[in-house]
Amino acid sequence: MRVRCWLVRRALDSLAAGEARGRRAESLRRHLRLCDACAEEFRKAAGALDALRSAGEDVTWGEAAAGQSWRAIRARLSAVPQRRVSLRPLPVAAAAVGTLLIAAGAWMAIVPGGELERGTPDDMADVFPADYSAVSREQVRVPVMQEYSLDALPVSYEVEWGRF
Amino acid sequence: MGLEGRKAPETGAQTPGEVKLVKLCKAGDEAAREELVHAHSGRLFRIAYHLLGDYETALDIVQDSFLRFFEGIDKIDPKRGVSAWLNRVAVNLTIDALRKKKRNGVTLTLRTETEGPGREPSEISEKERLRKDVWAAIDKLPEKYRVPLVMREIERMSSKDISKALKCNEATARWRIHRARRLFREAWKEQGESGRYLVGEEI
Repeated sequence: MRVRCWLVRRALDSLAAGEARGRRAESLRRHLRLCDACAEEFRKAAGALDALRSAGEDVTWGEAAAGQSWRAIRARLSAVPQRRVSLRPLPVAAAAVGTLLIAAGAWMAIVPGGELERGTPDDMADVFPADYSAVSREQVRVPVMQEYSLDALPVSYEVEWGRF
Repeated sequence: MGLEGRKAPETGAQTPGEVKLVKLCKAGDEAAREELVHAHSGRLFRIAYHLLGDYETALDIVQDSFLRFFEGIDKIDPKRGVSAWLNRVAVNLTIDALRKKKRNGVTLTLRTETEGPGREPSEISEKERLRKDVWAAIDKLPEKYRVPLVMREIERMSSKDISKALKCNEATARWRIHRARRLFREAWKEQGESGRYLVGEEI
């Protein structure tokens, strides 16, 4: 079978790597014997591959290196893992502020003399004395709640409340 | 093009001995763990070293891969390949290291044994220079081609194992290897290294 140069050029690397076999490889080799340009390209391809492979052969990994690696791996495996406590700043700050607010609220509620001190209803009269109130006690009339139906609500009631 | 898979040993195949070894490791047997490290560390180191060109980082990657393996060993099915699992972890860690180094603008240089501050360039042997040139050509390749090329040509892994490590199908792995060889050849040619291989009776 006659093969063209472009086909040979495409298969050069696999031929140099020894991966082209059978009749195909035979026809490629036959072409290389006849075509000097393709043979030159094959030389270069084979040279590059040869250099690559021989460069790899030099790197040796002896028993000593393996043993050294094993010792390092064993040391790292048996090392006690360090406990990592990672505190995120925002939740920690929020928790701290919340705790402070709760503590302040509790202090103001419990300690006598605090501004939010609570007392009996009588004491509240001192807090809001009549002199300073907007309305007098007489003016404040709590309407006696009677049983009105919503439909039969007296007009005067609305007017009275509106005026007040 | 008849791309027939090269008969490379399949590292992903799980042997009965390895299944037993993994079970022992799960039980916390130190000797079994050591045996596993001895069996697989060389391959992981070579993959990482040829991809990164950095001895220390490659060593770290080997250790990290095994640490991840032993820490997550309870979740690993012993019937599935240990090698494939380790390869994948090592490749992922290596790719992470590559990206990190490139992001940080670190120039990658291959350190050789005889090279050092007090050495003259003439003292560097031809083999070491060749290795540096090869690595410089590999470094020009995009990441997705560099990894399968190193796994195939340097570590001689099968397409199946490479596909497992790269989490892609076998045809994709084969295509990437094919393309990577061509790209490497072009990069190698750019460096002016050619004609070392003489045509003999092979053609």
